[in-house]
Amino acid sequence: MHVYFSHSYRDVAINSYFLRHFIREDIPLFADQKSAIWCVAKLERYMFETRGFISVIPRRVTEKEAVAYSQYIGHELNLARRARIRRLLFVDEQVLERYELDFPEDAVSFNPIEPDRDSERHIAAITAFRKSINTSSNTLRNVRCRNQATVVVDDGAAIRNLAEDVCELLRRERFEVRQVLTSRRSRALDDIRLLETLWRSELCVFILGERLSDTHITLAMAHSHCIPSVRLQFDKRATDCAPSLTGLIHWQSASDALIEFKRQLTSFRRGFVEPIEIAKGSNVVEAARSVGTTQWEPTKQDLWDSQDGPALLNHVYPGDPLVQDQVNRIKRELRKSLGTDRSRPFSMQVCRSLYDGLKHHKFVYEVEPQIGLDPGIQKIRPPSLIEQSQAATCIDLACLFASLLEAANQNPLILVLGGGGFSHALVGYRALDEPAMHSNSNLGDIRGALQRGDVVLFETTGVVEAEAPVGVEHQAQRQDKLLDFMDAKEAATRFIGQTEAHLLHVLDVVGLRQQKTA
Amino acid sequence: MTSPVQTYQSEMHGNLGFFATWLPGDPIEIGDIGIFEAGRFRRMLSLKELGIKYKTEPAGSMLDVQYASTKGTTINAPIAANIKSIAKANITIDFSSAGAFVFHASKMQPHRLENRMAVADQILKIYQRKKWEKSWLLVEAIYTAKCATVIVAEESSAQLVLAAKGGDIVNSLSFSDPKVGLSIVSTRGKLFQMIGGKDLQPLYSCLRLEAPFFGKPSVQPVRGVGENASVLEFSRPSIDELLKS
Repeated sequence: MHVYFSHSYRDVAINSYFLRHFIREDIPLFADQKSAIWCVAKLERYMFETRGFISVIPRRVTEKEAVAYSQYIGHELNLARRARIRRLLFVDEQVLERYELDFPEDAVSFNPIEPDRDSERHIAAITAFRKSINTSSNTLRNVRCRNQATVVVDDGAAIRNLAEDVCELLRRERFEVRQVLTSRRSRALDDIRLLETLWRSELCVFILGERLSDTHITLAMAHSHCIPSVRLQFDKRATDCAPSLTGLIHWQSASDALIEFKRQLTSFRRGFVEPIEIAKGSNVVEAARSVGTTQWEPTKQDLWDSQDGPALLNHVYPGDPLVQDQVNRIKRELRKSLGTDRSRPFSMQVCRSLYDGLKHHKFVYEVEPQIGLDPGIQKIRPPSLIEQSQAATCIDLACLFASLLEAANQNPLILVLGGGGFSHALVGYRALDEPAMHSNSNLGDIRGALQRGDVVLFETTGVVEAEAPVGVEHQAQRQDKLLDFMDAKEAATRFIGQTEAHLLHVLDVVGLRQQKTA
Repeated sequence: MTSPVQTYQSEMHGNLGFFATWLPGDPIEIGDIGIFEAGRFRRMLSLKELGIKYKTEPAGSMLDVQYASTKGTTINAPIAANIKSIAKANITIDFSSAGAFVFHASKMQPHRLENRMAVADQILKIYQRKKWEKSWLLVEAIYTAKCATVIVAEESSAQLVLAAKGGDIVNSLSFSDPKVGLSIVSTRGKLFQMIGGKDLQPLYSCLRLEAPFFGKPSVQPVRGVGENASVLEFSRPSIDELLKS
């Protein structure tokens, strides 16, 4: 008997508050370890395998709305409602007031600043929920067969070819596969044996053609019963295979679709994590952080030996599509070809525009766990993974900014600093009329360059949401968990000025590239 | 072996990233041209003398700084509560290693060469006329200080006792506040001292123009610029270069 815990990974403080209560009431929670893959089939499986659903829904500030909430949590709630499992919702009081009809009537409000103010009400709701799940049951769970997969396939050669490959991949994962071919003449809506087949399946895969067909109707039936499903929709206009919020994967290239299907299958197979058990072994804050840290498998290219400063250059990707998109955006904003103006004010303008642009994405700060890595080896996310996981560490961001600045014809600098048991990465640029920095430059050189204005540095994590200061910025400087550019700049300068700081690496990206080509 | 002056210069460079003038009261200006010699900048001529026009501008904000060497300096001042009521207070500074120092400066302001690219173009022309030496350094930034006190121990045991007007030193223990009115009571051992010096340039930084600028004194395209522009091949001398000169 377990309960699925739906929550916003980035709101560690409020999650910790509720985790404390859940521990007291001994609610056995399952949660989805944060990953870069959005897999609706896995969430549907979770709904299937748990007896209840608890959601903590905090306020989220977006570009358009000061009061909003995560659409992903909203989708999880819809899945739970569709699965008809017991639920308990704690919703930020402002969110509940503004979006009352999005939530069932039994939602319980909380104040994010002083949640303890309503702790009695919260405890009462948790106690009642605890009692209710003891008596609930999921009838569909009893008919489901482990390792049975059903692939429902539309008409069309390309679709049927992809279906064969999907079936093969499923077989390799030890699934017993049943393929169902539909056409516009089949009567899926009335086919009770088809519905029972769906109920029995651990996983269904729908390979949909462009025109509405019985495959779509079968998917609708599975959807309404919250049956774990991967939805592959053929679409001639598809540009990538990223799944939508509802889990629909648009594809036009079968090979791309297969790659995404493999990712979905890997994610689907992944187990729950148990935040209460983690908290018992550490504490609630650590548990909330641990579940909310993106799990990802690095390739060799994503690993950096932290003793090798110049090797950071391998993690600077000025040609990356995300990087190019950002740089093209600022070209339009500044209405100027980058590189024609070599003045210091223009370099500052470019840097600030890049910073503000990235800030709008509302990525979140994460600390990369050093699990499974050799000592001194650090994982660095490439830009695409930062975008997918919506999260980054200081070194990820330093490399991303270096990529952006280089693509914008500036001279990026990455600094890795240590001192007092910490290490931290800062980023910035040197003015275009300033000589390149040597890799053996010391902190004094950096301090002097900052004073002269030859170098501008900023706190990289200022663009990502963090509940507590990451560098030496003041808590008050983080407005809605983010830093303004000027505050990020001030924080970096203060970091450099600390007596206990010491410089581990300085990477002058353009200088180093020139050296390598010389 | 590191000399006391080298220790002072090395640590000040670590603190602020500028070279410390030696002697601290020696004048130095943006546009000065010279070389490092025996741990100091020896001025030879200036941009002005070469007929090169340049502009300077303040860089960064004004600040008061107080540094002491990382080891070997102990400052003993009377407890604040006790000196408010007395007219004069004695402050004892003990130095226990050669090179130990105290550097206090008020209203420090960095200034820098503003039109560096234009200056480089003019230097290029002078180079082509064989009137620019490769070893020359150009002072392109300085710190000015309204008031500064610099004390450097030149041997491993030294002491300086200063008298200050009581109430004025209570809050900051600043040796560069003109209101404090410092005077020397006694000294022991060999010390360099400049107490309350006015309108100084205690710190500077410089650039060298070098190969391939000198190897190819020509106009080449600059990255990201469609048209030709001069390549700025500046480099910055390191602190080691100054210390080993």
